[in-house]
Amino acid sequence: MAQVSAGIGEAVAAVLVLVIDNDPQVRYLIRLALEEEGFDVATAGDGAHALQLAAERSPWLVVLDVGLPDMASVTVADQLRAACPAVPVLVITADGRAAEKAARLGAYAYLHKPFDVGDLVALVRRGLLADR
Amino acid sequence: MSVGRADLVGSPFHFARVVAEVEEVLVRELGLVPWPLDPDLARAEGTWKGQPAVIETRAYHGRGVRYARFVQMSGAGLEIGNALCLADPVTPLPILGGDLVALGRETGLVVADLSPTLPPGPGRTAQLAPLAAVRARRAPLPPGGALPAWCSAWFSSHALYTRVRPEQAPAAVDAFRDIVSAFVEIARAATPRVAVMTAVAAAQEGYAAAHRSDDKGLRLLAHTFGAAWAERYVHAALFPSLDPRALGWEIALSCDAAGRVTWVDERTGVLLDARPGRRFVELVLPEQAEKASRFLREARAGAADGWELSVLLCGRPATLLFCGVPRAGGALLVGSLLPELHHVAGARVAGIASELATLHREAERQRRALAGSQAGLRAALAREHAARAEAERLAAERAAVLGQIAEGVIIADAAGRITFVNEAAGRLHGSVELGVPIPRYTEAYHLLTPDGLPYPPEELPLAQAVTRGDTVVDAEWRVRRPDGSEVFVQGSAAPVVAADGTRLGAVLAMRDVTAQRLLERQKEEFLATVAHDLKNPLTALGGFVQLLQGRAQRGAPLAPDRVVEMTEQMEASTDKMAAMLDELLDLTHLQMGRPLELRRRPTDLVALAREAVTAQQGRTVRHRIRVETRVDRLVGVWDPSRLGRVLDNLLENAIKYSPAGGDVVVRIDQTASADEAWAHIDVVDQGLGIPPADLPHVFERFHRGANVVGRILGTGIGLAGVHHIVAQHGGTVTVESREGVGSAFSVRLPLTERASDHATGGSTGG
Repeated sequence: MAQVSAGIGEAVAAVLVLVIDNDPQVRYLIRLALEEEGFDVATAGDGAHALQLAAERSPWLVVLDVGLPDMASVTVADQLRAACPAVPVLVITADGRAAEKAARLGAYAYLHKPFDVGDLVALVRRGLLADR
Repeated sequence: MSVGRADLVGSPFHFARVVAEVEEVLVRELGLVPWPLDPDLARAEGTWKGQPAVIETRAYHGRGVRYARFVQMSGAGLEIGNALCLADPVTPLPILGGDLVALGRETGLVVADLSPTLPPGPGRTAQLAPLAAVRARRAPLPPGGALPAWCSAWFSSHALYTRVRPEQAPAAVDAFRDIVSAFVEIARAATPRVAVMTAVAAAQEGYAAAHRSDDKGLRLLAHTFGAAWAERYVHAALFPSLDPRALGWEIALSCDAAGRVTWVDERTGVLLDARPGRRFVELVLPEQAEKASRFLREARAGAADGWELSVLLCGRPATLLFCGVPRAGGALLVGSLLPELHHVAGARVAGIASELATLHREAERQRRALAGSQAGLRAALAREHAARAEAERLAAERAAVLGQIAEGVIIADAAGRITFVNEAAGRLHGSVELGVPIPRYTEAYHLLTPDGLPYPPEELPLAQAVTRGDTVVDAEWRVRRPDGSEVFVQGSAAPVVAADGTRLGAVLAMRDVTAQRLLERQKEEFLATVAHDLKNPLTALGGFVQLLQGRAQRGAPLAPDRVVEMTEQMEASTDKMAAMLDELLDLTHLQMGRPLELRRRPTDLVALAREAVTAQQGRTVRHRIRVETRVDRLVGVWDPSRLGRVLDNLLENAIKYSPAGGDVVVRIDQTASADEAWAHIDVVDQGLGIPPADLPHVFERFHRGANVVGRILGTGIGLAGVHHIVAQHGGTVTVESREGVGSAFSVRLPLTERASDHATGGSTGG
């Protein structure tokens, strides 16, 4: 799946980003945008599925939408870290108070919906660099 | 008050100074306080034998002493000192009287006594024992001569009456001082005795009346200071009349319609042993029970006056003069002890014809005064009664009016104490407590600020209105009821001010705005949710456009299958936005009570359900959603997009409210009778269920279950929309649910002939 074309993705064959969002179209958009940049992408529409994927595939970074239908975001973030310690989390949200939420979830950055796809990609890169 | 002053003239007897010394002793020993006299009575100047004369009088009262006064008078060849001390009739004391008169430089006359007020017998003897003792100690003094009859009738057997020369004066003065000492000793030992009150008062009044009318010495006053002044002086300063009311010579009690005592004044309780609950007729002597009943009847019917009833006064029969006025179905009764006074006074002077005549005059005068005072009393009672009735009427009216209105009303008095809480306010607080002072408002009524903190009592609107006279408009606070429920309250308080500007208290009007506040909050949540939900398709669309532009700029077009994929997703996003906007529009209709414009066409419910299930299954991996049906197709003439929304809503709810996952079943079926056919959609989940208290409200706008508020995102609008759409189709939607087990929503849609008629275009479903 990974089409390595630029940036971090060039250095590592399979940099996996886990995208968690309950909106199918938003999931598809992020998947498309990150795949264009050469990342490997896994998607989940709810917290339970996301945790399952995280345990199975150990993502390098997580894009987490706040307000999943099944679980509180704090729970999801905590359990993600339990499965993948120190995994960077980028929060995306349609709500206000994004900064506050991001801090609570231990995210390194946040984006408001609707966001610029370029911003999303840039933040994902930054998250991966900081982590390495 | 100056005492111990120099003699007014240079008399060798110094009688004026003696009286001043006695005055000093009595003021000190009995704790007397000055009783103000009119200035022209306290000191007057006149002419005696062509020479200036002056008279000075000082009056007092004190514990056990209702009136004491001391007189100094001097003129050409004249020096008089006079003292009088009358006990409060409840305190049985003899009357201290002393008259020291220097006539010229050679003759001094000293008359003094403790005149008994108790009837002859051991009581009187015991009371006068100190007097007898001091009088026996002294050597005899020269006799004064024969006492006038009016005087001897009141004197004790120990009275001092001597006529002395200047050199004998010290012994006479000492004897007078002895009598004063005996009086002080008796006064200190005396205890109040209501039983002898009438006897003591009668003796005092008889003594005073005799002196007022028959003391020849008083002519000297008229002669020296003028008849009009002397008349006033005798009645106001020398021997003032006993005011029956001032002395409490009246008793008051009220009875209800059944003749039971409902209230007594303090004196009635002591004198008649009357207390609430006793029957009035039991207070009078048995032979007068019938008369008492008649009096009571008359008093209840109108004003009754002049009824003589014999009662047991401290265990002794006594006749009281009663008047009565109607009140509150019963009567207010006032009894005067005065007839007894005259009776006793009369008995004491029986046999002395001239005194009888005097007493008769005095009795008549007092009877007239009493009649006047009773008329005044009646008028006052009538006024008081009318005022009370008006106040009671207003209070009843206020309670009735305020009890009816929906707003809560609380009234506080000028001190801030709560005096009234109407029904609505009682319901709102879940409790009513009266008499609560400002510092206890918060505690007694469980008041919180809008943020949920204990409300500082002095900052509450009612407290501000009471203490500062401020008007507070539309303040908000919360009430935590004793049952734990909380209500939001909005209220205004204003001071209540009398016409003359006096602050009477304050009134607080309030209403329960809980429903409003919750609705507002839910609306805010709803708008936030709508805004939130709209951002997702917006994000997707904007993002796709950006990606396409990026590709175009790089000259690297997408692969055709990617283009197809992406445009499908874009279409899904725009559909989603359109659906949301449709829903919002429908909701506006719903809110404004307008019907929807259904776009009916033949619609296969089974196909519609399968589509909805497929879409919703794409959103969850933890739920298994399936369609169960006995029929392959079920076609009716319905609005497919609206029914699609009904299914979406029910399925979204089923998923959302079963966070642990599980099966969600959509059951499609049909039923038919002779003239009706129905399509059924049941959506059954294994979720949280709906609390019983919330079940009747699930189809109301903005209503959300108590077990999901704050836990699961939602607008509380979906089910209202479902109800609206189904109702527009002529169908019904119902719900059965058990908390912790799951919910089953049942939609019934008509498959009537009318509906079939519309379905002429045939089925497009498949």
